[in-house]
Amino acid sequence: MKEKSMGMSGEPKKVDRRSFLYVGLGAVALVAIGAAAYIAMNPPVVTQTVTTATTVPTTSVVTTTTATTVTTATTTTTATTVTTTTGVQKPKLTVLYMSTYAPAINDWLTARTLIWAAKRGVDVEISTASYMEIKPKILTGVETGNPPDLVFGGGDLVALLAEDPKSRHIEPIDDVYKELDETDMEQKLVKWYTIDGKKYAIDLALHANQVHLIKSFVKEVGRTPEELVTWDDYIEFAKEVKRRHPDMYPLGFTLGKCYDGTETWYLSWWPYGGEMCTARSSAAVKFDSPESRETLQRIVGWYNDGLINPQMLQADEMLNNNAYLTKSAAFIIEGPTPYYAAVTRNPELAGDTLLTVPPKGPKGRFTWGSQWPVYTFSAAKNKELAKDLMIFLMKDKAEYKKMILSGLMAVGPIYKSVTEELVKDKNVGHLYKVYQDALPIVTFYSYPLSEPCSAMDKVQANYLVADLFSMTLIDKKDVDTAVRTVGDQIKQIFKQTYGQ
Amino acid sequence: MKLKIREALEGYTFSTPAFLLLFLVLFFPFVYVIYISFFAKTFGYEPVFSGLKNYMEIIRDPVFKYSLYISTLYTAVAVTFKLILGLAFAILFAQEFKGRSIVRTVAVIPWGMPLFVVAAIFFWFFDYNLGLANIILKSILGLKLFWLGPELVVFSIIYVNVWKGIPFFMVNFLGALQTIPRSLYEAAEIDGASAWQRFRHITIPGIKYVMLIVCLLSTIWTFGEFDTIFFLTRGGPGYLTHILPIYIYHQAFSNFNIGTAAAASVVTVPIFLSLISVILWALRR
Repeated sequence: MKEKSMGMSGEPKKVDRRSFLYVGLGAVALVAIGAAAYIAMNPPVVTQTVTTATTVPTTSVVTTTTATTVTTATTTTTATTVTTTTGVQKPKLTVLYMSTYAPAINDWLTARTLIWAAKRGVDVEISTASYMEIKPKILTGVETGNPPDLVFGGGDLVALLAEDPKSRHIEPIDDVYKELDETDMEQKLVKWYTIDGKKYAIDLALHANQVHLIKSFVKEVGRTPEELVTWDDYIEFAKEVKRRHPDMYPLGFTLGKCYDGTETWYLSWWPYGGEMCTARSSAAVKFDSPESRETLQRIVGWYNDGLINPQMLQADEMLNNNAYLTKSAAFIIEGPTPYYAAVTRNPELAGDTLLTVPPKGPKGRFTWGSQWPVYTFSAAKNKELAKDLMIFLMKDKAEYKKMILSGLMAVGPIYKSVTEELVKDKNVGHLYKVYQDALPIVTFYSYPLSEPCSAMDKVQANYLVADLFSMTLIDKKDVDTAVRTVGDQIKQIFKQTYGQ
Repeated sequence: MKLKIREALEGYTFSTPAFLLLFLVLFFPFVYVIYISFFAKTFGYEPVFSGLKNYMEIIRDPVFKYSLYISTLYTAVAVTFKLILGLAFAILFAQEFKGRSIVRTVAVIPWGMPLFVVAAIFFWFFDYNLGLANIILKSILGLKLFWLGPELVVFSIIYVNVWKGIPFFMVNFLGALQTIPRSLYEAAEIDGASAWQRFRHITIPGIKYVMLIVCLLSTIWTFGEFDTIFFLTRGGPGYLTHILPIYIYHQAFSNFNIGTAAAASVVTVPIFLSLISVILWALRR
């Protein structure tokens, strides 16, 4: 007889009836436990409609969908009547916040979210993710049809997820804008999130790049900060610093394949006439131009002259921040989070720092604006609550101002009136004046189109322009080849996105 | 006959949940990756059938070719160093000396560290301005190096992998060494065999199967490593440390090409399968 299996003793091993019964009972018990756990986590909702006249200064439409009922309350006055659905189960809002380089801003955001949740009687689950982690998390959520209810961050995904009418994943939030003081907002920022006449996101704040100039180096070379106006002035200054400190790399510019690497490109390119695209079409891509070649040649020259540390070729957003914080660069151009770090950790350096608008080129002055958007998704389970939270975060300008101030210049407000107030402040007014001066020159990566553009989101997400540096400085390709190769790749992305 | 049917039924009943679990956890994702590799697919869009286009794209992509090259080089060099140093440490720690157990314990610490922690340690260790590597170099030789710069980055990531991986080799070799009878060495010594001859003819044959399995496992792990390199270099500078897992990650999350990322993953499957076959073959022997 062929043995099916052998036990330790060598006897044919059979499963007896009792074992069979035990296993069956075990399986039934497992299923029962699973079902009990599921029911415990998702109890049948006993809907109890409670109408409360709250003093929360907001108007909103709160729609809470439960297994059995849909309760909608529409309010139109500022003393709102919010109908909430309560019972055994509260609605649970899932929010995903980018962790910024200014922790106080995240603390404010978390605190305000929890206050909102307590006021509305909802549960909230707050997750945070770094700049690097947040995009995969958002995209995975969208792909699986289970996005977070509210997101803060992932600025270069908004057009990608909202532009195509056939695949629009971000929920329009025109109703949120209506509740807020839209006329008081920087219109450039509103335009950046407007697609086909609808608004898809709102900036929590603006991260506008500024020169972090270490004054002691300027003094050392016998100059004054006022003398540094143009790119030529700054480069000459850097060369003088290099002459005095041969081991130093005075330009704290990131050249790696990362977000800050792209900032280096755009900030040195726009002032010399660099343009990306004029419309959403591959024919409108202007990248492959003499301006691009001249800019790249200039940056290669800075590197070869020893003005930029070879370490800056690493893909790391912290490198320029650290170069400033360790005074191993004479200046950097960055959104003022390094300044925030200096104020909180190295006040002496903060005192030795002058924040000022980026240098001027033949075509004028430009600065980079990083998006800090807040948005919700069409597939989000609690999108109306998410919109309500957006209003709560943004509507109270006094509270909003506290958030801006907590960031110690790391970011600026999107409200003109708040900027005005801050500029008048005796203690920090001079710092916010720099922000106010930077506002008109804030530029986005689709310049001169300066509108949301999903093809440019792809170019930016891939940090494609930073390839120019690795091609010329690592692979030793000539400037012409590098510009042509990257230009072709950008055109290809536009073709894939918008067709021929 | 009835009994046989019942036995068969019982067998199927008991094995079905395990098969279902395996299908859901292992087989389904694998099949789905193969399926999606034939589609043009980006996040949030419906997949569109594209045949072999994704495969053609990655085969033509010079970055993919470089990724294959650098992954192979990284794996080969790292595993070779881990083998040599792991064996050397195992032989050293197999000797009797005071404090041996403490030294053995300390030597295993790198293996127990999470990859992310290792990456964080070396991120600061290699920093040009603040890193311990340059502080030591500067104090001894008066120079600083760009450890994660274009010239040294490949060496640096191999160094990190070797540092973390040596204990795994060492512990396994130590175990294997203890199975070799002492009498063999004594007999060889009486017969006048030199230290090298004893090592070559007794030690190596005594641990060769452990050595083979450890090397192959380490090859599979090293080839598929992502965390440490991504944290340290993100595949840079440029594409210099763009190993295959980072290439696949970038295809998915920077280029938003899920189809191409899937195709690149599928291409790596034969490499892993052949390595696994070698392990199975060795185990059977």
